[in-house]
Amino acid sequence: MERLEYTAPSSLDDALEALHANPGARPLAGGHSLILDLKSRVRRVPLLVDLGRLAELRGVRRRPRGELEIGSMTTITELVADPLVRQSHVHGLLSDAAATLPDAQVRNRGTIGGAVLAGTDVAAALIVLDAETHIRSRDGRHRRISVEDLLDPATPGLAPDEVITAVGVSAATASGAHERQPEPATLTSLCGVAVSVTFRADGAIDTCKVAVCGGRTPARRLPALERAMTAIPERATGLPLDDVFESDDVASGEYRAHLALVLAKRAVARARDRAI
Amino acid sequence: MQISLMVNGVSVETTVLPHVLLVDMLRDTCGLTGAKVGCGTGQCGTCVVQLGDRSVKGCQVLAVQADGAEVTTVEGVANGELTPLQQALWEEHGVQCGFCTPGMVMALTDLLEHEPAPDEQAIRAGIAGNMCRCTGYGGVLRAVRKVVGGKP
Ligand SMILES: Cc1cc2nc3c(=O)[nH]c(=O)nc-3n(C[C@H](O)[C@H](O)[C@H](O)COP(=O)(O)OP(=O)(O)OC[C@H]3O[C@@H](n4cnc5c(N)ncnc54)[C@H](O)[C@@H]3O)c2cc1C
Ligand code: FES
Ligand code: FES
Repeated sequence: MERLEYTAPSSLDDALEALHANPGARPLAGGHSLILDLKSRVRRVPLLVDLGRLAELRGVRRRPRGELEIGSMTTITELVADPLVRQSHVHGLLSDAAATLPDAQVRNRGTIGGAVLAGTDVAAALIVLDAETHIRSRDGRHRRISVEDLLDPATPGLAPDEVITAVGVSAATASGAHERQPEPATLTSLCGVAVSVTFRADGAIDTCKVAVCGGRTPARRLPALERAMTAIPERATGLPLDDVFESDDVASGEYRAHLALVLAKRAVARARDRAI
Repeated sequence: MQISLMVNGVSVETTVLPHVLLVDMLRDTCGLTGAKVGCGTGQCGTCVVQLGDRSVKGCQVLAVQADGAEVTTVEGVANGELTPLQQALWEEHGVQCGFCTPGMVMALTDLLEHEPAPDEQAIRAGIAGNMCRCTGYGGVLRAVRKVVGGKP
């Protein structure tokens, strides 16, 4: 790894100031993607601003309207073990998504903020939960943007001097599940599908949100798959999904689209089991 | 950068460059060569140590991030005699060349501390991040079953 500078501020304001004052500086969260990038030199970062000492970014709180506010530096291990999360409807879905991280050690360090920006399975789960990121920059500036919009390649994304402080998840009562197909060598998801489903009294699907991830494509909602699942999932075939995923040297976009449909059906079935 | 931390219960004060990895500091500065660098990319688990009360990959953490923390390496788990887990690994032939063993011990120590009665699935998940190229995992699994349920 190349030499770099490091600072571990004890207040969020100091962290934001350091990011603003030093072009190229990046926040360091769990490091499971950033430190890897620095080692392989795919990224050069002159200054790491470690968010690890900011207690205010850690832990889960319940807001007056029942919303869960998850501090961005909460680790994936802490998230799924948190009593507020365990008692809520989002636990099943988030546990499924957490289990996609390769092992306990990565879950012990990897954070929810980092997982949002990675745009993979955990982000897909947050998208179907309508999760919102709380973002701060210097001088008290703040904004909120949904995880879905933040990851949308058509939007500007996170500015270099912005920090995600929390992820808000509404007090959903829908039943969720996540399914994926890992790539055997790296255990990353060839395709991952998160669903959040409400059922009518007769067991039919009332509403169904679906988000997918896989390859270079960041997690996103897929309305065509949502419509198909809300109709009769078992009969859904031949959906117009061919342009959703990119092809790369691991899998073709077409194969990933095929997986998306198969995995969506499995996820809906699992959400149904959880709902009863 | 000046840092101070506890390593296996001993206070360590040292100066370290920010890009130095925790596993390298433990090996090169503290002389604790139990944790090893297998892949250096967070996949093999030979570098696992405990940071605070959780196991982490020592190759994915900067030494400066451990400033003020308590670190435990495989050298620090046995207190005069082997822990039941280490004893069972010995008895069940969970160790062959031993390269993966320090990481296995640290990952499984974390598992058993937080989940004293893991089922088979949880035991297997507990070593998902530890690669062994010799024993084929069977001996390791028998050892953990023995610690948990008395039988391999
Ligand atoms: C071998 C291996 C395999 C993995 N496989 C998978 C997998 O299959 N699926 C999966 O989902 N994950 C996987 N991960 C984990 C995943 O890549 C990271 O743990 C996680 O996505 C990044 O979180 P982090 O906290 O480690 O972030 P870091 O690596 O610290 O940061 C990642 C990026 O986000 C920025 N950032 C982080 N937090 C904030 C914040 N609060 N505000 C602003 N910017 C921020 C950083 O500046 C950096 O650019 C794997 C990790 C490893 C080591
Ligand atoms: S050396 Fe750290 S996981 Fe392989
Ligand atoms: S005993 Fe040789 S790698 Fe595990």
